[in-house]
Amino acid sequence: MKDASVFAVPDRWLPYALLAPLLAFLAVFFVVPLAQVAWLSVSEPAFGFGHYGKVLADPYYRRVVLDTMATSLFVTVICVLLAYPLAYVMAQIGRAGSTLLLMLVAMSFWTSFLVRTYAWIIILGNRGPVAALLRDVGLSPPLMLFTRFSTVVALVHILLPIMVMSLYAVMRKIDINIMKAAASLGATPFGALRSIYFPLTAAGIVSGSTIVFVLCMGFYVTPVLIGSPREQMISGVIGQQIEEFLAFGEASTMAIVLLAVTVIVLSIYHRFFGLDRLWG
Amino acid sequence: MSYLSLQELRKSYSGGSLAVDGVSLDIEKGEFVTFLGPSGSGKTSTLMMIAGFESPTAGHILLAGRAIEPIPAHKRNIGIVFQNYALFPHMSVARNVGFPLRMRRRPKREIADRVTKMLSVVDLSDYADAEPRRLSGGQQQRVALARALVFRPDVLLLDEPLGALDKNLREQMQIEIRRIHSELGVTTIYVTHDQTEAMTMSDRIAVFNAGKVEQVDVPLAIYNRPMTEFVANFLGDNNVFEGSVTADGRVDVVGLGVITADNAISQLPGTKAKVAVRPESIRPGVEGRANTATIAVQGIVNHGDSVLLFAATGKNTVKVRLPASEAAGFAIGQTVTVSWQPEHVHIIGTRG
Amino acid sequence: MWATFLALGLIVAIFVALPIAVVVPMSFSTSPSLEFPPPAYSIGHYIQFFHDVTWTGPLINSSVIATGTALLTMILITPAAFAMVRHDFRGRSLLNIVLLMPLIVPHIVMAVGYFTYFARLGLLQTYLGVILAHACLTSPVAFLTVSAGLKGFDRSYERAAQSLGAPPFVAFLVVTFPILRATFLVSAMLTFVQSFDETTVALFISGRDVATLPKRMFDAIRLQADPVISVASALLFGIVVLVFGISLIRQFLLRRVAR
Repeated sequence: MKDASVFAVPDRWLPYALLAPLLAFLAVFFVVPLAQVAWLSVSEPAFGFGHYGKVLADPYYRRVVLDTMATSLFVTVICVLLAYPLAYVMAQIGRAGSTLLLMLVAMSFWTSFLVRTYAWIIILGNRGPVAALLRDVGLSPPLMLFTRFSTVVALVHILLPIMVMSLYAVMRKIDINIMKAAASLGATPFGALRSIYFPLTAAGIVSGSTIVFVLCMGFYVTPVLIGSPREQMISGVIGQQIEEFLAFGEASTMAIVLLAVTVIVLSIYHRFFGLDRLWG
Repeated sequence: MSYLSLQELRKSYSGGSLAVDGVSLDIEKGEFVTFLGPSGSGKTSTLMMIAGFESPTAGHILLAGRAIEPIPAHKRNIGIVFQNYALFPHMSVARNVGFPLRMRRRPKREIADRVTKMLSVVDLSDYADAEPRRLSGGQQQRVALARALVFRPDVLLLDEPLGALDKNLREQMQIEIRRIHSELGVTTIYVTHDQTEAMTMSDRIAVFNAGKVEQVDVPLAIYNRPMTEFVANFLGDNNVFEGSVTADGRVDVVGLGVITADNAISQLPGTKAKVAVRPESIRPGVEGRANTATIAVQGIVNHGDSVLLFAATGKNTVKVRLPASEAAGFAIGQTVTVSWQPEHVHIIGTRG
Repeated sequence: MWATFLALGLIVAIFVALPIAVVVPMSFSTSPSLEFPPPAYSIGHYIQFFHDVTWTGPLINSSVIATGTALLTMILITPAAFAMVRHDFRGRSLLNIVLLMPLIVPHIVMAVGYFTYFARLGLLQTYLGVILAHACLTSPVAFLTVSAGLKGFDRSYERAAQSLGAPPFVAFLVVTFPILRATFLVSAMLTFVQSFDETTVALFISGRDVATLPKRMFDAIRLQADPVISVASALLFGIVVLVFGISLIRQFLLRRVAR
């Protein structure tokens, strides 16, 4: 129902007047910087699409982009595999249990990823608990930090809460009686899970995966701190180009490439599911 | 001239749906009128337009001769009781009831006085400092009433106020509301989908359907002389038979014969018409009643204090309601002769 | 079947929660290295942290910036949320996506933009610059939170107030705002935490002058493994626990009071 004006402003203009401050602000402090990046990618140091050509042709850049996508995909898959049982438990366990687990997940989610990355630096470090454990068993601990392995572990840990919450949101809505009905009709527990429950959760898997994949692609802090300096992800390369080389043109180009991949993935999702599903 | 006049009110929404389609109604000062209808019939939309929360797409609302559609809601001096009471949770009962007086900048002493008086009218004097959420549904309802009446509104609007209460409480509140109405004499519009409520409380009932008012009249007239099939079926159980008009203004129904009604209609013989007969008006036996029919009982439903017999003749289902004391001896498959008086039959207009 | 899931689920839950717990004991370690479990405990690092202006400075900077961001963001998004939830107008569904775009763009991309753009505006290494950037980045979540609260708000309170004689703006102040206070508070807190924790953009635009705590931490981790970082981590983690604890206690108390 349309409502009477909150202020003494003609009804028709009111929504626009209310939105104006935020929109103006975003235009100046969000759109313009973004446009700046796009502009730089084709104007620095000289006008032209040279940088884009380099990204597509140069094997180094190609490898970085593909590596990033591969790593992100890998992280996403692991997140799905790990999040599914936890979300399932949260959805089926009683009120107290699910509240507790939800709190744990939420606290992890809200802890800065800097803190979480640092925690993994401690854990996987040479003087950390994992190395100590391995030494206790008589093994000599391998190099775990500053490798692709540590990047994956840390990213999985950081992004797992998102996947859990995405799955949980969907699983919560599934009526448990469906499973009982399936059992009464002769389905084995695994069969019911596979042909009834799993398809119902598919939407949660897809939306969670989309978010995790997109976030993973653009992640800066964690891969830079805990990953291998030789095997950087796109964001690391961008940062390096700005900080070390002051190569704004290259940095902007890589940034636009990253943005493009992000937008493409999200557009595909929007096409099939609608972006409003992602943030309910 | 009537006190509150609705003139050809129309309300359509941006999607194109027409919620109110030409509603006209005249309400006298001090009257208790009920807007009765199913959900989506336009009764609440009309109420919202009177209150000022929706503006009519077309039409006028006149209060004491003055058009009020351009006046914003907060200046209309109309009291509203909402379905969920809408008591301000962060204010005590007394502050809730005093709110409209504070908005009108009345002196503190006067506010305290009037609040106290109002609370005693609704029998809640002991709860002045209580928080709304600690009160029961019925009590909250009474606070909402007190708040809506304390500033002596020109009109009182009630939007399905008793929907959330259980049956006994509802009946109690119905009596309460009527009592307060007679005591204060305020013009009242009551919106509900519950026809029993409408029948027991109203001076007049306006029956809404699909954005239009199908009939406005005193409850008994609406019940006994419905003007359309919708009205006939909406209030209580009814039999509606379709037949064709005869030369002498009666209706010939297949399987039931020619039926004499309390009204005759002057339509060309052969035109289709409908007649409505209340199930409780159909009696077993003949006993000098003008309309008779022989029917075969197909179903019996026991309602505790009454029994409903179902029978079919031709295309029509006949429902007969008997008090429990007379219901023994009827069985399924039995053929029964029943009859009813013309004054209990009403020919519904050929429209609807 | 359930047993398997339960076991797996709990293992994952431990994986999610436990690693972070490493940070707090670490901050009390006596060792100057990143040895875990710590050989012994003391508050030495905390004393060192609070006496080191290169750490307390960023702590203050982050607090100032987060507060400023929370204020600015709330002022900007609140009327917008009202517009989007309560009015139906052309372009509303498109705007829904537009307003959430800062969530979509990777922070590193924004960092490049802000770095070059703010350089020209002279906003690099200033409180204002970081606040402006953070306000953009935090606006989507704040907007979503307030919108959700608004959607669940029963309009009849406002209508009742108006029918009783309160002009629309008075109705907002006297009825809507007090009832929605909790939503606004949550939104402001979320914005504060987001700004406080934000690392990537701050890395590039806060510089040395207004270095935020995350930037200081990042540099420290990169350059040397200094256990004083654990104190910063424990503090950051502590804020989250505090916020959660407060909201839990509040919920618990409210439930008690409501009989």
